[in-house]
Amino acid sequence: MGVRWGRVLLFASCVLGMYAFAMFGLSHAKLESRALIFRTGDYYNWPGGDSWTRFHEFDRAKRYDAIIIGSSHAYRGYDPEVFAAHGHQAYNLGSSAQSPLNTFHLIRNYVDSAHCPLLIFDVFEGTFQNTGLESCADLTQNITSGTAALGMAWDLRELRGLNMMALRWCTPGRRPYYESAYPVRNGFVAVPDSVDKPIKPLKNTKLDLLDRQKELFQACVKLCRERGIRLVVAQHQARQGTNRVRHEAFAAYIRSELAGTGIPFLDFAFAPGLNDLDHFADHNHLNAAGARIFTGQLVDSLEALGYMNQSR
Amino acid sequence: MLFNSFEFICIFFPLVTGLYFLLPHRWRWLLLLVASCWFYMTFVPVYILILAFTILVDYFAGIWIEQSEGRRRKLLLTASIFANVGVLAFFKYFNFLNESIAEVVRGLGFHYGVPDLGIILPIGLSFHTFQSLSYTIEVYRKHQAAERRVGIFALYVMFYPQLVAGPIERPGNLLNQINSTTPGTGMRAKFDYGRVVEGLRQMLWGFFKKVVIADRCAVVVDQVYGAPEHYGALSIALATYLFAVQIYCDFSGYTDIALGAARVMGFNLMVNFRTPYLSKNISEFWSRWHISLSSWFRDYLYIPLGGNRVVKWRWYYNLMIVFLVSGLWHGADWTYVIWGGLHGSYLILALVFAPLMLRFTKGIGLDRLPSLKKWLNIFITVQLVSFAWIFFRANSIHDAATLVHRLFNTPWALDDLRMLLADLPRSMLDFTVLLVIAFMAMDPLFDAWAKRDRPVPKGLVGATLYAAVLVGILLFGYFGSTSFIYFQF
Repeated sequence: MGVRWGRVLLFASCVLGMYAFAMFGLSHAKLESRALIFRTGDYYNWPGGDSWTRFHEFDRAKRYDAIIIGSSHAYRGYDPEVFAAHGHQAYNLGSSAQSPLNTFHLIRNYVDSAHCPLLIFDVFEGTFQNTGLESCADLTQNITSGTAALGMAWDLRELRGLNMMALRWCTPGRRPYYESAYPVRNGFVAVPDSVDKPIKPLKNTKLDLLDRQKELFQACVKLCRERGIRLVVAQHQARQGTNRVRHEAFAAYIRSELAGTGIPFLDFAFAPGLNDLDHFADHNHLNAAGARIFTGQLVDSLEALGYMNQSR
Repeated sequence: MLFNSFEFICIFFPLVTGLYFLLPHRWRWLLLLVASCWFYMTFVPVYILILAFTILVDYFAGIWIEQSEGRRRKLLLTASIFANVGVLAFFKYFNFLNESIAEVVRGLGFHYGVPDLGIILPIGLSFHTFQSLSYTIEVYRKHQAAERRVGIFALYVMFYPQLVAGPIERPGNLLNQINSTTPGTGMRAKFDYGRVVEGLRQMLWGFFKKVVIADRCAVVVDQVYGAPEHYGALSIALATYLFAVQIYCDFSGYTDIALGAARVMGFNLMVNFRTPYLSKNISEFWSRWHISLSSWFRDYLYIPLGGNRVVKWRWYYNLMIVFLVSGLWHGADWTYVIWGGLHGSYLILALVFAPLMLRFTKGIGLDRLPSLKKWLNIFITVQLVSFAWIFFRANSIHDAATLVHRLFNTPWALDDLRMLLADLPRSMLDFTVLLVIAFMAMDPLFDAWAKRDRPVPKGLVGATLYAAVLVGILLFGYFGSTSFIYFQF
């Protein structure tokens, strides 16, 4: 029996040793100035870009009046400078394809009521329809909190999460590989471009939200309430061609989740003030001009609802 | 439940195997039967009723055939065959036949009113139907005693490792192992460390084939075969070779996992693959590819048709019939029929031109270079098999025609490959090709170890080799629980 356990132990040691060796080697050896690991799978992300800047510039000791969180809709649609013009300090922690699974771990590790009394959580259908893998690939390489990275990698419940974390551990002193294409100000990325053609309406009206993301959304709400963080769920304007039936189904779902919690859902999806050609950078992201208008409308609403003090 | 799913790897397999060894021998059949039902019902639960129908029909048919003689015996066998093939025909071929007839009738300008029933094919139907059929035929031939316990017979048809994609077992192998009274064999197996390790190693190699090789190749193949009109000869050729690797790794990977899981519990299922891409001709290819199916067709269709003990034209006819039926067995589409027809044609042409080829190889002196001749034959066989795979993989006849047309009528340009690279996820092509080359070099060795043709290196070397396979899965696996290709058959 002892010999058998010895063999099992030998095998386990071989696996661990080879895995560590291979991961270390692949993440350090380079070909054409790129680590080899990035050639082995499409889910490894290079550290760098706006996520790197956003999380490395974020001051966890500083007090903010509001923190914005969510997907690319958040970091491209909610402009902290507009908050500042109204006399409020805000920081944007949105990131690409961020889903409730990722948001949950960011809230747990970056947001507390002492430093941020108000959290604005941007949602839209797409964030509930992806597994969180893409955002995990981005955040595990770019955020400063190892605990948050480990939490979301673990919550993926698959081997790719392990590999992403192993890559992070193997490159502790990593530097950003590349710069953001646009300047990052308090986490916000102002995209000046505008689209040049109208969007075609989507035919598919079926809304398939992942149960796992629904669970994590509920967990986010619960976590904020436990920590005494005031939460506002919001969605910015959508382009005119956006499928209304589909959006209404999604909005109904969000309202049902928030029912009885006192948390408002500020749904600006079809609110006036923006037009497709001047205020959108692409099929669903606001450009800088759109973000300025929308954020102004949002701050007015927050002040009117008493979530923020009236502008000084 | 897929073999490459979290549920199977982390819950189902360890739980069933653990309970199997903890239970007394007499209760093991019940555990395996319940586990097999559960396994099957995780796909479409209600389809277990179809399986139950097949089991009951063949269970009673077996007993009645054994008790009968003469015409009644033959009649009972015919009834069993009709019932089995009837179920298969309805669920697998109704839509196909209906659509084909509708096209012809509408083409002639008439109205066709039979509606599409929207039937979903029960998973693995062709496999367990053939397995069940082999039982009644063997009882009819008096090679097998009828099974009196319905639970045991049900387990023979439903044994979970090979339930949905084979190998298509024969009662002489699997049923006899289930019924074995010899201590230490079949259902009476004790926990044997060496055997369990062998089984796990085979499963590991199967997982490697599936998630590292097959699923990676699939990304490239799906891209090209999904839009054949966008790509030129080089991309189509590359995608076709990668599909040849994909289908081998997907199916033989499944088989390795099935054989390994069964071996852990003390069962020896039949070998289904023997490095088929090292075959020197098409005939040899079919003795090394999906062996359980090709031997089924040989024993229950080719030989009853007369095999090769007939006049030449009839021999060729028999071959063609077998391969056309084999094509249809794979799928209810004309692409599969053409695929089968191509293989039948290859074999017939090889027979017709055999004397000529013999003279030709002698004439050019190839006989004096046996090694070169061998590799040349392997190369030609791979080309023929790969060409036929185009029809197997194409989404429609029209796509297949486009692929073949573009393969032979567009220039072999590197720009075409660049376009494919741009369409694929980052680094997918170059790394996949590298992995495939490494795999092809290693596969004969791992295959020989799995089949016990060669001893696995002992100690640190053996541990390191299989650790490398596991690390390969962890690091390079293409995850996402993709289904196995042969499940649809």
